[in-house]
Amino acid sequence: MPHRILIIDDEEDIREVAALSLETVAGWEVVKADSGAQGLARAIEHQPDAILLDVMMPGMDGPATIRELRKNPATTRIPVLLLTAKVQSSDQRRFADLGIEAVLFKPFDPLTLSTQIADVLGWY
Amino acid sequence: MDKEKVTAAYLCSHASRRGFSFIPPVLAGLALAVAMAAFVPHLATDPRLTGLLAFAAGAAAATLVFRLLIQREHRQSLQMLLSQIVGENTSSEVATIGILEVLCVSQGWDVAIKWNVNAENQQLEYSTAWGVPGQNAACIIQESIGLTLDRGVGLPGRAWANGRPVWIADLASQPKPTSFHIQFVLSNGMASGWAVPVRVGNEITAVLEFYCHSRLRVNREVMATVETVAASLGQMQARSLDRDLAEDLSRQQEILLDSIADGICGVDRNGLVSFANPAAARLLGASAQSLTGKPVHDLLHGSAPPNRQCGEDCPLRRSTENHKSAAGEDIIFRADSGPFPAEYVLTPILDHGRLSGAVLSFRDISQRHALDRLKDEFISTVSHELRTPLTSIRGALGLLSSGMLGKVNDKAANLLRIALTNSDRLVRLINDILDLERIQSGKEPLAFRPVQLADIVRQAIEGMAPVAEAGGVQLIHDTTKVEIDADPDRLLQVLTNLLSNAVKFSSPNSTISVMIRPGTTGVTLSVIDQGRGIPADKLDAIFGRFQQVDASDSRQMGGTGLGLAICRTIVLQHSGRIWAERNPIRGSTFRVFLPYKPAPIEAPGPLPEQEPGHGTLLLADANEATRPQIAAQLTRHGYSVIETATVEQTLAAAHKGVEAILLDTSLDGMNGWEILPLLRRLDPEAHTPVVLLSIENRQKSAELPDHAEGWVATPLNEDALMGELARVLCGPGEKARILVVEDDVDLARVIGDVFSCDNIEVQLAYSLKEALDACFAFQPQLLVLDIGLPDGDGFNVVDWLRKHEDLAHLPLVVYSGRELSPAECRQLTLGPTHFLTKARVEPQQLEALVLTMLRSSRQMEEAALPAASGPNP
Repeated sequence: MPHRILIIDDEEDIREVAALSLETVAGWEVVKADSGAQGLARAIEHQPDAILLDVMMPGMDGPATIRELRKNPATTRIPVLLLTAKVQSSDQRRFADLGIEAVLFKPFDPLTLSTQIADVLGWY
Repeated sequence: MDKEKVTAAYLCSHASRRGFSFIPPVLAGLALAVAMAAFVPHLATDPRLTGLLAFAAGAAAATLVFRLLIQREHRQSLQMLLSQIVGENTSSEVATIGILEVLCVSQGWDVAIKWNVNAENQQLEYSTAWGVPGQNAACIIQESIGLTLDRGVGLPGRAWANGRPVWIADLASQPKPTSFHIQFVLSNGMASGWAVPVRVGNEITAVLEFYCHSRLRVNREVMATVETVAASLGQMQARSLDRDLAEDLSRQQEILLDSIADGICGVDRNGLVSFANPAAARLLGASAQSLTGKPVHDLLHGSAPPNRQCGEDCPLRRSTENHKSAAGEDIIFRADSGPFPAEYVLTPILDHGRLSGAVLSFRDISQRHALDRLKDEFISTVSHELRTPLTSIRGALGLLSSGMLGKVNDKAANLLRIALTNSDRLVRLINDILDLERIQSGKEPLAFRPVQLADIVRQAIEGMAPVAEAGGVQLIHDTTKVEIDADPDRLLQVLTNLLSNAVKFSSPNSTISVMIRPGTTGVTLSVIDQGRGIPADKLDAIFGRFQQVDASDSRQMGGTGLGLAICRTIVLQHSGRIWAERNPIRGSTFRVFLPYKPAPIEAPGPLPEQEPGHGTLLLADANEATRPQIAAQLTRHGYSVIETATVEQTLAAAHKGVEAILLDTSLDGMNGWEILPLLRRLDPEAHTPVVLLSIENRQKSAELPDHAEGWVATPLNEDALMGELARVLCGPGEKARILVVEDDVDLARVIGDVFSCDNIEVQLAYSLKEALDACFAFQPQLLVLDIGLPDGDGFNVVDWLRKHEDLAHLPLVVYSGRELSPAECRQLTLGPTHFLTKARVEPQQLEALVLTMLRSSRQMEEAALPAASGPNP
């Protein structure tokens, strides 16, 4: 049973490339959402095994989305990994208290993205 | 008789009319007597006449006394009048005119002119004048206004030149040709004139010139009076000049203080504010008057709301109470509104060594803080914005390039590879730019803690292992245990960077070694490669941003051009130094010196703390302008400095237990090259390192002269100076290390004992393998090698050593049981090599040889001279 990943990012190109990477390299199933709100809905509906979440989005940003996911019993246990271009340590400090599994940095290597996710979540 | 009568009458009336007559009083009495004799021819025989004569003489005497009394009276009242005039008038000019008037009127003179001495131009300039009402006086004064006289010209000029009064009783009788001035004065009815210099101390500051329409002879009384007046005038003038000067200075200072934008407060020795400039009042939101008299710390923090009160450890409070100079940033609370961030400097004022107060200056830096924040936000935003599209590019290219989405033809594959490589490079560039910016601006303060250097080296090597393997490059490192205070992540960054460069520039089957060498004040890390090497003139430049060595270099291999700049910034923040060297045979060595305990650097922040004393340095430099500056830099870094300016002084001071000598290359006209041997002759054993300060560019002349350990180019760069000192000082003072490779245990011990009393550390190795390990771990400076060993022989050892840059030039003493052929000798040579046959050499000879070799090898060590003083290399 292939893993199902929900990708939430407001950039369409990034959604497409990330999805292609996970599908082609790891053979996973990918669901996409273009905003925090859509992401929440899709998470409830599709119950993914993990969520790959962008930080800088208009409307509900990454941290706000996480808070909503945690509030909802249907989604509260889904592990969340941040995928972000905000790499400065001053930014990093904000992420520390969010209850996420890991922070992955953009740009990512499409050939190893799935491995990185699997490593963090202990999937083999 | 008639003539006598007339003469007498004339004389008498003249005398009485003049009051302070110039005619001696005796004459007056005589005149009287003569008159009596004229009218009474039979005087001599008549007793009544005798009585009359006696009376006349008495009268004359009385007149004399009377006259003297009157004169004194006049002089005194003149003095009082003068004092009154001076006292009443604050304007010295008005007072002067008054004085001249009094003098002229009381003496019956017509004109008085005051000339000021202009010391710069050496001329007399018209100052002011007084004259009796009337055409003549007015004309003369008019003519003099605006005039200047040279020394010796005219009456005043002559008085000035001679330094004494000049009196011309009869102007008309001056020898022809008379000056224009005298003719002019004559034509205006003047008959006599005189000039008197005005003295203050020894200096003539003015000259007074007088004219009278009658012919007057010089009179001592009058002269005395005039000179008294002149003296008073001089004093008054001097006082008023001083007063004017003081007023000018005070006015200038006030203007300055008023216009400065920084707040400036003067503080008295009790810590109370003595004055505040308008800027201070404005910044603090209070009037300048209300600020004075308050304790200075209250001024700055007094208005803080209760929840933001500062405590006992408030740095501002401490500096204001301790009367020490301090600088830093702090929040200042305004009296009338909120707080603002400020930068301040507090400087105590010492008057002849005693504290007489302090000056506090401060400025509002909220704008700077706002700008900093803007810059940070900008960088963060830009970084984010650049990464986002790069993510898509990188992802798409990566997938395409992998072939997973379908086979791609060769040409297309190549293009994809190019695109991918460059997008990677772009990412690294963004990272590096951000990194450099953050580190340099101090936004990422380093976290210092004790770290084991060997661990970091190991981590870096493990990280680079895959890349090194792919390139066919071998990585070796020594495991010397050294602990220093450092930021481990940043150090790792530096090492990884250096290794990455080394790997990039090494060819397959070469070796990169990382060495750790502890010294007295810190440790030197070396990354040695056998690659392409760096041209001598680029050794410094490569640490700049975006520098390339040549066209075909690290950019090709994905470098960003910032790696070394980042390394340098990090190393500097550890108070260390990083530099590159050309290896004699091939490749480069990058060295990083890190002190055991770096002095903390904050950016921007209060003044850096003083490092603990580093010992005494001797600074020999004849240049009076730069030597104090250099000394100040050295003192700031914790050294105490002895300054000398001549060869003699230097030689005298050189053996006072100095740690190192900084020598300017020309002293007393003697060349540094000549001075060095003199110094060496003084302390052949002590071996104080010498660093030359020279205007020549080191890179042009790669050799250091004999006896010099280091070189810094002038004009001095503080970093370069400190780094060279650190490098030079961490070397000597160490024990010398020799490795004895000898499988005969007894013999090995004997050799070891030979050196036990010297300042030498001996390591013994009994086999080839042990020898190789020891070479690495112990880093000997000299090798004593028995060429007959159980598991190999000396030849193997030497071969192996020759392969390693750092060890290929070790001084070597080869001990063999038999005579070696020349060919064998050649094979066994490393650096300076000597061959000894066992049976024939006494231990003392060995000791002497080794000591000599050690000494000369140390001198060569840092100079990177090509090897070769043994038999054919």
